[in-house]
Amino acid sequence: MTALEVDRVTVRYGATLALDRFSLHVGSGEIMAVVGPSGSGKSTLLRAVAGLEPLAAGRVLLAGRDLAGVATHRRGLGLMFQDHGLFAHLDVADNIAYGLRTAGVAPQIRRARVADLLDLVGLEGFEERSTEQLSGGEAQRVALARALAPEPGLLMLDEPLGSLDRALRDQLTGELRRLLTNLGQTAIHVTHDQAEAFAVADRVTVVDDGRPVAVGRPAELWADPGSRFVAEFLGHRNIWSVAVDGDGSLRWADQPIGRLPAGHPALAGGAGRRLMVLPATGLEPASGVEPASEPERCSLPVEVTEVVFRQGIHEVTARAGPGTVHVSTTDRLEVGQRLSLAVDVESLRSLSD
Amino acid sequence: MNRESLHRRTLVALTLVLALVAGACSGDDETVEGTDVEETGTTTGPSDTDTDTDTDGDGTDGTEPEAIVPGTTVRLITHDSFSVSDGLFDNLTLETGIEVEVVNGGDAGELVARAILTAGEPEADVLFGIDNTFLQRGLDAGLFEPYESPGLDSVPDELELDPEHRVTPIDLGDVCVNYWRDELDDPPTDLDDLTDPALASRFVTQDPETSSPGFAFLLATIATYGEDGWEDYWRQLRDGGVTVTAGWNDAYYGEFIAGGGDKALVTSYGSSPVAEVLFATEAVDTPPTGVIADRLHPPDRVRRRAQRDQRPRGGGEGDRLHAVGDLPGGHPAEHVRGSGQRERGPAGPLRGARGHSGEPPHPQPCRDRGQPQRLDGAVGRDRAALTPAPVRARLGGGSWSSVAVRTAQAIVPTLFLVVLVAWPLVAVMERSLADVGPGDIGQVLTRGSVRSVLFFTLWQAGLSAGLTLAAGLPIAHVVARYRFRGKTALRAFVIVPFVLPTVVVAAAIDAVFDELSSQLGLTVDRTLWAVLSAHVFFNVAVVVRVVGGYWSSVDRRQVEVAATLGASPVRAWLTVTLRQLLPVLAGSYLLVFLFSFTSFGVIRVLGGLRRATVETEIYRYAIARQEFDVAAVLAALQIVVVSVLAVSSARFQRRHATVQRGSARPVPIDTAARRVHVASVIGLAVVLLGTPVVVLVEQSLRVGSGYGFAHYRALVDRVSLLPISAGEALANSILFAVLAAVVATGVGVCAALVIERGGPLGRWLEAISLLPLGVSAVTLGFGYLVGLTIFDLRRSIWLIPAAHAVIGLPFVLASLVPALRSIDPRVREAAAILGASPAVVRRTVDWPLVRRAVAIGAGFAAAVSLGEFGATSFLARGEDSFTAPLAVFRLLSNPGEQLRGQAMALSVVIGILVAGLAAAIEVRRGEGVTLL
Repeated sequence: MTALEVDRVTVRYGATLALDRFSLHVGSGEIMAVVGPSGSGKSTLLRAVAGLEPLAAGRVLLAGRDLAGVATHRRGLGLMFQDHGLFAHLDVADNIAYGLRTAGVAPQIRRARVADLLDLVGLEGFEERSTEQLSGGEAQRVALARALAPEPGLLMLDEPLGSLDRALRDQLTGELRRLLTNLGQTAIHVTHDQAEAFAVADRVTVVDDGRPVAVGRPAELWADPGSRFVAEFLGHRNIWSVAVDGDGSLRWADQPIGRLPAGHPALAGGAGRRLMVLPATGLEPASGVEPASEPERCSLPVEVTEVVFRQGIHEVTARAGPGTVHVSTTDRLEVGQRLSLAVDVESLRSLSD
Repeated sequence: MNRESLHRRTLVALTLVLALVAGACSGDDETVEGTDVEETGTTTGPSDTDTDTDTDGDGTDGTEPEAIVPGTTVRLITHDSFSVSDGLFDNLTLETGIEVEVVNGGDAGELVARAILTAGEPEADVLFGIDNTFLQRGLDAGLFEPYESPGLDSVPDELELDPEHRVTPIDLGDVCVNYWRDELDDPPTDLDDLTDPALASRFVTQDPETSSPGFAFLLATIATYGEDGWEDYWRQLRDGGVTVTAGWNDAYYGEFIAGGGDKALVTSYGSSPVAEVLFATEAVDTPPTGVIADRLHPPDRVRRRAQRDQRPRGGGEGDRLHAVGDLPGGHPAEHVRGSGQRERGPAGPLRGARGHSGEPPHPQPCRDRGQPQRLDGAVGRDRAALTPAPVRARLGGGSWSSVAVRTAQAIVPTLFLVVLVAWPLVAVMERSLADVGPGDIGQVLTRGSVRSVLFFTLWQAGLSAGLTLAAGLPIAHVVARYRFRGKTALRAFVIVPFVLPTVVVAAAIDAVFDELSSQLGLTVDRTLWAVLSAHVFFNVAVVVRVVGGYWSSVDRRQVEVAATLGASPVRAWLTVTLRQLLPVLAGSYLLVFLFSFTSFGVIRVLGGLRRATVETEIYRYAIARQEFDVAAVLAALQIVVVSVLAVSSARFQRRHATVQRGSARPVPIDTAARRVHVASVIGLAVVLLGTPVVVLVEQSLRVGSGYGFAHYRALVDRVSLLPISAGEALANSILFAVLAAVVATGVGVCAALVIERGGPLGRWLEAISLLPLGVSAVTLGFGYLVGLTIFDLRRSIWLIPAAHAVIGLPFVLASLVPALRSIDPRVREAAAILGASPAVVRRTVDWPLVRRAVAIGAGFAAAVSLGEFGATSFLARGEDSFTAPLAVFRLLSNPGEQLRGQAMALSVVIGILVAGLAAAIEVRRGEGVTLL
């Protein structure tokens, strides 16, 4: 069931198009991440849904109801900003209770609910703190609790973790997903950080220049970004211009790198040169040192130029004949080492340029 | 009569004065000499011009010439209608080697009041121009030393008011009932005639307690009908429908036909008809007015010995009040003596009835509205604001240099406020209350009249401030929130009323109300609503600019968050926006409250005779009655009230200070609802602020029966009543405004940093910096004269911009402190971590964020200075310090359509200048640079 439908929405700022016939569906209980570079229209999308920006065209439906003409405060939405936007003149409890108060919830119920929410976000007993006494992470949690308090039909998070340091961000990312999932809360999570988007969301929409350019589950999108822009934005680095022969054999520059199995989607366009992406996990050190002769199992001779160890994985950059490749491996490699890499050609996907 | 002869008389008068000088100096050094008036010639007619010529000769070197060494400078203090021809003093210097420096002592009442308060450390060597109504006070206070002028031979004995010769008579002029010739074919010939209801209802006179001619008229009635009969006479006048105004100006220009009113008879001067001819816009052969010649007898006897009196003169005038005279001739042109002029401003106008002889009976006012009297206080209202507290900011540890900087930041404003506010107040209080015990104070405070005055003062101020906020907030919102063409112009225009001379505006508002009541038949309490409207008109700029400036920096995303949390726009505004605005709202409310609380000119002009505030009472007691102790108790009361308010407002603001994050860009007006909203608010602003301005402009362009720019062109020429041309006065005003803005901003920035940091010193500074706004200008003005005797500070013309800066300071703080407090401390911390020293943080972080607030504060300080009247009238000494508001006031205090037109024109020029200045600043700042 569709909780939110954004139907060909256009928003203009003067002469510029901030959103260009933008469409998006978010299912009930689904967490949709919207990622894109700065200025791509992500935040505008939220503002348009919230009714904070007038639509030049299109419709926004929430649970099937067209929101045209419905004032922001009657839309039943939650919104959380990057720098949390807590009311400095109110303490933590009053911040969280703000939406309950506007809804006319009785004081006792309000108090109980505030306590529950604080509990939920891990801040038991913070009711009477002033907002100035909160750390960045605590402020975010309070802002989240505040947004959740009225049980909004849709929660919109605009770079909610953007101002936090990486470790805290990683931690909160997990918590956020758990919490939203447990609540069954429908949410749109806007961020410029694809890692955060993948970690939090059920599905991810990549936005560029006011338009969605890719939508999918994180793993699917990663495996098959579809376009060079999306691939690069998601962090893919092995983007090669590959020649495909009629029999499915592939050459990167003049180096044979393998043959596509029949039925591989990249064969759909027939023979020719095309742009392809290979996840860094699609390469691994081959057992032999010589290039294999059989076309299905080619290997690529390379020389290691850089190794970065990150969370148990070596991220290796190596120079190959046709260019540079990026490999993620648990093997220990040294700079200057020469070796052959096996290419998992089945992981290759074509990209539009 | 021509100017030539007038000048001759002036010369005569002066010579007499000089003779006095000689006496004074040889006698003893510290004393003021006084003189007064009386002179033989009296009538205004041309005939008498030369009567004095003879005196001329003898006066000069009279008796003890050796007392004055060539090269000596003699200081002469006199009232503000004193005027001599160019070159006269130069000639004197050539002949005798003596330089004369003229000190303007305000109007006749103020002149005497300040001489009494500064007795022992007089401001000058010679006092010129005390008339017989005030004389006894001066003599009782021991102001003068005996000196027998050789010129006395030519003075009739009966005019020598003091047998001990402590004063020397110099001139005599009359107060007469004037009438409009075309209206009365058969003018009254004596006081009895005036009681005829047909005439009484067309007769306007002044409150004896606040106006010299009014007092003279009262004395005449007492002289005529005796101690037993005068009250009856006044009862008849009242029953016949006489109108009583507070001052000469309101009577002559408000009620009398000359100013567009409908009264055909007015108490004015014997020389008024002549002035009508001299200053007519279109040449006339005969004056439109005449005086009724009655032989009233001078009231003199009422006044103790001064009695001598006058004679009937031949010319025709009538009532002479005797002795008037001050100065130069009584004559016409200057219209004589002190006459009318007095009134001043805010603080002080003065005028005065003097009391003695008992209290002048207070005729019942028959009507309660006053018209414009001049006065003004015009301009001077201004005052300040306040602000709160501190909150964060501790950067920069305690290195020696930062401690030194902080100390300097604290010392500069402290010293400034102590020297220019605290010390003068203490000095004048001490002197005024020297002989007063606690019991006396209690007695003053428990008077019912004092309580009711205090009550009225407080509630009208509270209501005025509330209405001003109500009118100003929608305008501030539109200006802060939207982007539209004409916004710069609107912002610039809003500040215009703030600097217009009070007198002028009050008159315009009165005219508007006249119109409204005749067209719409309004039955409201007119005087009250006129006063409130005037306060709103003057002060709306404070709300629009101070609140608007802050508002545009309020984080709008919080409002959006509130909306997503279900708050309707109204609720979001109340719970979020309003809450964030609270500190600055409280600050502006207090500013406007204090302005209204100490409002002088508006109350005098529009409040009628019955509406008195603490400020006008202080004036009345100090200047008109010279009961300095009562005035001082009232002034202390004012200070207590202001202090309590300032402290509680500061605490409130500190408690509610909020930190802003984020910025709000003005949004376009892109929907029909917004267009309607913005258009209606702008419409409101234009009607509210524009109506009186239109009236004013219309009056400035009215020349005779048509319209033209004659009054504007005339501004470049010097009118004989002004020491310099209006244009030059304007140049002085601009210079002072620039200096005042620089000083107020410099001191204000230091003070704001100290205040923001908090602590006892910050709180103390915050409270005391408001005092100048809440303290009567009369009190402060006298304080300067009494207190600033070291290094002769009180005589420095630089004291004027300094005093203006004191009044402008609260505005700088009102704008700056909330802005400083709203800076997110993390931004400063971030800068500090990046290696910025505290000074660099101030420059690179704070400054860009608050410079708009600083600009707004500086603009107000300049505006305050441009319009300031009250303090300036005490401090202005001569050509170098004569300002435009003083010129407006002086022009308005004299009869003659031309002078009135010029006053209006000059007011319009001041307004245009300020609007232009404000617009220039706006444009330069530009929308894009809007920070915060």
